[in-house]
Amino acid sequence: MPSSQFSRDLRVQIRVIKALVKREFIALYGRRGLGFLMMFAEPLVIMGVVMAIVAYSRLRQPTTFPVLPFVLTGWGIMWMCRYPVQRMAGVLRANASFLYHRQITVLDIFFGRTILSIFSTLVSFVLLFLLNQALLGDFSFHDPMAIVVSLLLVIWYTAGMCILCALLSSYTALGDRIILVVAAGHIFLTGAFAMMDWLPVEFRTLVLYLPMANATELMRFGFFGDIVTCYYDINYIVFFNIVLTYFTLQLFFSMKKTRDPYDMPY
Amino acid sequence: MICLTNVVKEYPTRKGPRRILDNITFSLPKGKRLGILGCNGAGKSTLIRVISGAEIPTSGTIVRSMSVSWPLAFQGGFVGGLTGIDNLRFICRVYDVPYRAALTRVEDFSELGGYLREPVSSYSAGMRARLAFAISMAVDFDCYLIDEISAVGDKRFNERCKKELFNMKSSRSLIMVSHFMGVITEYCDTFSVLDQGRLTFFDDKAKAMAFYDRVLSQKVISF
Repeated sequence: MPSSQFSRDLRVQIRVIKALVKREFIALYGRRGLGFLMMFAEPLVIMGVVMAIVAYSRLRQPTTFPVLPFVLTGWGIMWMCRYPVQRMAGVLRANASFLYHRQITVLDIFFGRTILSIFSTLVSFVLLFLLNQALLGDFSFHDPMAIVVSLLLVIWYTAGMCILCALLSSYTALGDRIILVVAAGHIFLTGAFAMMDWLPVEFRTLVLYLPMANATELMRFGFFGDIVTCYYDINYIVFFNIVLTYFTLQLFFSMKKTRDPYDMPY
Repeated sequence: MICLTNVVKEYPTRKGPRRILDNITFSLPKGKRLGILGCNGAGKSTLIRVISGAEIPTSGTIVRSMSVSWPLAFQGGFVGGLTGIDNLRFICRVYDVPYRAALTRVEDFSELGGYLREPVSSYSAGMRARLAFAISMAVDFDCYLIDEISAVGDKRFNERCKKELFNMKSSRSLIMVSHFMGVITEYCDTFSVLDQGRLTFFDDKAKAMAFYDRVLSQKVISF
């Protein structure tokens, strides 16, 4: 019965990934006291500080442009791309011992950490989002669906990037260095600092080749809609994500074939 | 029953692939205790890992129709940064075993006391062996794969291991690799020698011992 065999395997895999997520949680945030708060604290503090500075400057110089949501969307997405990617450095090294259990595969280990770090940034984002709404005292959006779709696309993109970077870290000697560059690069590879509308046309067409610039713009459209013209292309983000996912999986299968998990650059 | 058919394992080296296991075929029925002797670099640990499924053979098939433990070895199985308890909890989740009952058994059997709540990286080799045995006993496999690790337990612990392994359940199987005949005769009832990637079986330990001595004396070990 192939279907029952498949569902049995699937159950084992889900069990393994759940266990790995819990293992990552304990290892990274400790089980004593408020250690688990560190999970949200790091992204929260960075985004919170930027938002506080902006809020302060807005008090001194009133403007009609919604600065606070602008910062929340920009820095939120930047951080959601950056932080999980950065955390993939050395993921296999920390967990290689678990490969002695035949149920656990390299990909499970990657998924475990990816899921946990995306979850932690997502929670910080939601907390800041609530804070933002509370400060504005306004819970109406132009298009809530656009925000949700944008978040989902960002999560998909980040997951792909995480697995890709985990592969580089695990199977290449320079991987951990490359990850630092990729992660830091996301400061500029998302649309954190400007609305597309502010850019000159030629520059804008170039910038819109960055999938996360599109996603940021989409989310901003969801927040404040018609105040500024938003430029984005959902199909392009989906297309990019599919290519990224395909490329990552191809790379994984080719590396899995040619390299042994016991033969890694430690 | 564990069945290996034409199992080959090669590792890439600078000079091209090096064959570690060369066409290994055997089957181990339930209740049999197989000891595998081999010198350094003969491929003992590789064989154990391949049998456990932690490593995929280059070619050949392995059929496991009983539950097989992970290789109980010095390294592997546990993450050093986690405490003994956290490792236990992780393994319980992976193997779908109730944690509370397992914890009682591990506390009782490992006799590690407070050290169960310290990181595994602070354990000595003997303590790691105790933890590995205790956790694998709590999961309760049909077949145990033991890679040298029994050599580090003290006499009291080894006695308890043997009792737990064989007196509790006579249908338990065991595959143990070592370069030392003493441990193997203590635990096993079938003997074999791994040399040049090939596994040779013997009816009794005297013949196995003689063959192993011959292999050792003839050979300057070079990798």
